[in-house]
Amino acid sequence: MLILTRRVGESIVVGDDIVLTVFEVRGDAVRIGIDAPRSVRVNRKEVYEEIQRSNEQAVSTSDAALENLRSALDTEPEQP
Amino acid sequence: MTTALSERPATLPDSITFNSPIPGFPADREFDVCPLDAHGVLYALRSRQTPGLRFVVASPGRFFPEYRPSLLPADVAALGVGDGDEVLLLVVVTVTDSIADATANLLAPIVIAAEAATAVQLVLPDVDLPLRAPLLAPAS
Repeated sequence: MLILTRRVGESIVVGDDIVLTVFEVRGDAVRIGIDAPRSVRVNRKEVYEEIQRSNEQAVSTSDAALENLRSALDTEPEQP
Repeated sequence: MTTALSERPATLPDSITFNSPIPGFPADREFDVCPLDAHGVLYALRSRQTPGLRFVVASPGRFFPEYRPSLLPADVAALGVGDGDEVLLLVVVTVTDSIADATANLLAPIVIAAEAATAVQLVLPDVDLPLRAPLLAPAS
């Protein structure tokens, strides 16, 4: 892993079009600004990992469980 | 730019291509969209890359009538959607053992550009949205 030291107001350029800027350092918290093209998705890592786990669970939904859900929906009244 | 969010996914494309990888499934970009009921509520997204890989997704209106996340223009643009194109929203459903445990991911819905047939799983900025919202109200 590349480790760089930056001061407040200084930036790091990743590739040609991603810029990370340190805005504020307070205690153990750092505020970072991220400039990236729209096509690059930027997420907090823990949130991304949670969604990853949730997706992995989602694909393991069994056909039987799905069938149960379908029949439950058929018996539930439709909302207007 | 304003983007109309459809109430009902009446015009879902038969297949969609994810513009950016689905978290956890970087190799699966193309999915067939298969309706699972006659009400336009449940759909299966079947991967064209991995046989047998499928997500169960739902039109959120039936279960979460209050769920109307606002989509940022930048996020919609990432779909390759032009002004006025129809954008549809589906939530990923997980069913474990019992349907009472069925949940939907409201934090990261799948947003689909109907005409372009492109999609992204969008992480909404509202971190209070649940990742596992109970799908069915407990029986009273």
